[in-house]
Amino acid sequence: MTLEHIRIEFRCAEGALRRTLGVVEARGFSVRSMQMGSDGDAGVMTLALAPLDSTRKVERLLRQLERLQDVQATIHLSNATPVAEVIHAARA
Amino acid sequence: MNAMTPPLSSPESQPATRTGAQLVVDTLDALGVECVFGYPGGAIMPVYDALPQGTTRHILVRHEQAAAFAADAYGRITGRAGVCLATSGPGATNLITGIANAYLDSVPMVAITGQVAQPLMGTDAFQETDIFGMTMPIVKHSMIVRRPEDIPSALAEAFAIAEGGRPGPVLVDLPKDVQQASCEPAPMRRKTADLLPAPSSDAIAEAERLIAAAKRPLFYLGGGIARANASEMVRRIVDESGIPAVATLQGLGVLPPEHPAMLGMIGMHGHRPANMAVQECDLLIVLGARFDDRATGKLAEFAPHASVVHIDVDAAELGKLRFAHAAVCGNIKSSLAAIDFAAGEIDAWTTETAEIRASHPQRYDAPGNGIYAPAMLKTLSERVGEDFVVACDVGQHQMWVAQHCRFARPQAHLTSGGLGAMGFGLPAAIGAKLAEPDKEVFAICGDGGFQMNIQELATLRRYQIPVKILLLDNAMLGLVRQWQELFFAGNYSEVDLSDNPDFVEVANAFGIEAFGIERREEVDGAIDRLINARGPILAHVRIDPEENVWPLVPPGASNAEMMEKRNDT
Repeated sequence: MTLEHIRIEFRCAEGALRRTLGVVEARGFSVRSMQMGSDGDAGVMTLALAPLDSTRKVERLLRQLERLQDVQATIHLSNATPVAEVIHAARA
Repeated sequence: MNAMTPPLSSPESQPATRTGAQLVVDTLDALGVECVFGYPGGAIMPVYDALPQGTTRHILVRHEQAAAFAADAYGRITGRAGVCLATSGPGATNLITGIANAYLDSVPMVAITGQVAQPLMGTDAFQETDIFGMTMPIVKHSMIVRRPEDIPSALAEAFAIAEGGRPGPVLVDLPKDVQQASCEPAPMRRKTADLLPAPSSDAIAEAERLIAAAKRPLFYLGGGIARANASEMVRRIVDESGIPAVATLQGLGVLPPEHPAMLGMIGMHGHRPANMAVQECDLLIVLGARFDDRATGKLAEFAPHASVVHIDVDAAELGKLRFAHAAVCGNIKSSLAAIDFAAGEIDAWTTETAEIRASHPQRYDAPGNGIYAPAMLKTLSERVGEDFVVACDVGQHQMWVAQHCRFARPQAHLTSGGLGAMGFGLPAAIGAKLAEPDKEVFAICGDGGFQMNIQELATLRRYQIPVKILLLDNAMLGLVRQWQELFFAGNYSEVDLSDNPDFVEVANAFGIEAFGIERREEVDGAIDRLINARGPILAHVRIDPEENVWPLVPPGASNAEMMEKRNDT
C-alpha cells in the first residue's frame, strides 16, 4: 500500500498532539511513522500514513485537521518524499 | 484572526485578589451568561461556593446528562452557548452523551468540569478521569486551565469558539487547586468569533451558472440554516426563485409544510414527494447540510442525475461524501447574499413537483378507535401555532413529530439528529422553556426515552417550569420492534416494555399534574388540557404497540425504494 505523507504545523497547546493524531486515526488512517519537533509554541510533525481503505482521501483528512483550533497549516507532501528529507526541509 | 472588544470589566472594580472559582463566576457574569445547568460535587465545589456571588442563574438538574441536554437546547434556540457544569469523574463522564449530541448537531455549548487538584492528576485519584482526553473526539475544542489568572481569557475563548463558525461544544476542565488559588485578576476581554473568509468568487460564479442552466433544480435545506439564523433569507430566496425545496430532519421549519415549494423531509422516514424529487432533480443546492446517511440512503444512488452546489461554513464538509461542482465555503448568510439564484426555465419541473406533492398527501384515516399518534401530533402543532416548540426523544414518535408537526421555524424543532440520543426530550424541553419562556414548549417522548431522564420531573417541579409532556406509550421500544418485524424475521428481542410503571402515578409522585387517555375521542380534550395548563403537566397517551412509521427506506437501500404501509394493516 502506498503511504501518504503529510506535514502538520500546530500550536503546542496541551493536548494538541493527542487531538491531532486522534483525528488522523478516527478518519481512517494508520500512522506508520512520525517525527515531531517544537520550538516554543510552534510545533511541526510529519506523518507517513496508510489509509485503511481506498475511500480515505488525504485531502479530506487535511480539511478535517484544519478544523482543529491548534492546527495552523497542513501540507500533503509527495508520496515519494522520504520523511527525513521532509523534516530537513521543514527545519530549513 | 481573533478580534477583541473592549474590557467588559476592569480590575479596579473588583477586590485586589480573586480566587479561580470567583473568576469563573465573574467571567460568566461578564460574558452575559444568564443560565447554567449543573450538578455539584467534590471537585467543582469551589465554583459552587462562589456561584451565589454572581448573577448567573443555576438550574440544579438531577443527572448531569440532563444538564448537557438542557444546555444543548438552550444553545440551539438562542444561538449562544448553553452552559453545563459538573464535577470530576462521574459528573464529567455523565456529560459525555450530551456533549456528543451537541457536537454531532453543531450546537454551541460550553461544558465546565471540575478536576482533581493538579498534583493528583495522573495518579488515579478519587473521582479522577481524563475527561479532557475522553472528550477530544466529540468537542470542537477543549482546554485544561492551569492557572487561575488564565480563567477569564480561557472562558472567553471557549465561548467564542463554541459560537463561531460551525458551532460546537467546548470543554473547560478546571483542576480544584486552580479554583481555590488566588490571583490578581487581569482585565476580562471577550473574544469575538474568528472572521470567516468571504466565499470564493469563482465558486459563486460556478454556482450561478449551474443554477441558471438547471432544468430541475432543488434546494436541500439543512440544520446549518438555523445555526446561521438564515431562515428568513432562505425563505425569501425560495419565494423569489420558485425553486422547490426539501429539508433534512434538522432543516424542518425553514419552510413550513404548507409552503408551496416545500416537498417535505428527505431520508429514511422522509416524505415520498421529497425523496422522489431528489431522485429526479438535475441540481441540488445544498444549504448547511452534510449528506448524512439517514438523509441520503444509499449514497451512490442518491440524486443520481444531479450536479451539486454545496454551501457550508465548514470547508471539511464540502466534498466529504458527495462531490460539489460548486463548493461555496463561508457564512451561509454571506454566501446567500452573494449568489444570484435566478433560475432558468423550470416551469415544467415546478409543475411536476407540485403534482407529486398533490398526489401523495399525508393520510390520517387510521382504522379503529385507538389513538393515532400522527394525527394527534398534527392537531397539537396546528392548535398551538406559531409558538409551538418541541423537544423529542428518539424513536418512532420522533419520526412522527418530524413527519406530521408543523414548525414555523427550525429552532422550534429540537431533536437529537446526529447522535440519536434517547432521553433528550425532557431535559431539552427544560432548556428550551428557560430560553424562550413565552413559547409553548412540549416534550414529546416515547416510553423508552422518557425513562432515561425521568428524574427531571423533579427539576420541573422545583422550578415550576411549565413544560407540557406528551408521553406516547406503546409499551415497546417501538422503532427497534419495527426493525425486528421487518428486517429480523419478527424475532422480537428485548423490546417489550409492558411492565412500564403507571406514568400518571409517577408524575404525581414528583408533584406534576398528569392524566391518561387511550381512546380517539379523548384526544381533543387532552390537547385542550395541555394547552390550557399553567404549570408543568403530563399527558400519558396509550397507543398501538404494533403501529409503524411509514414510509421507510430499508437500511442500505436507495431512497427510491421506500416501503409503505401494507393495505391489510
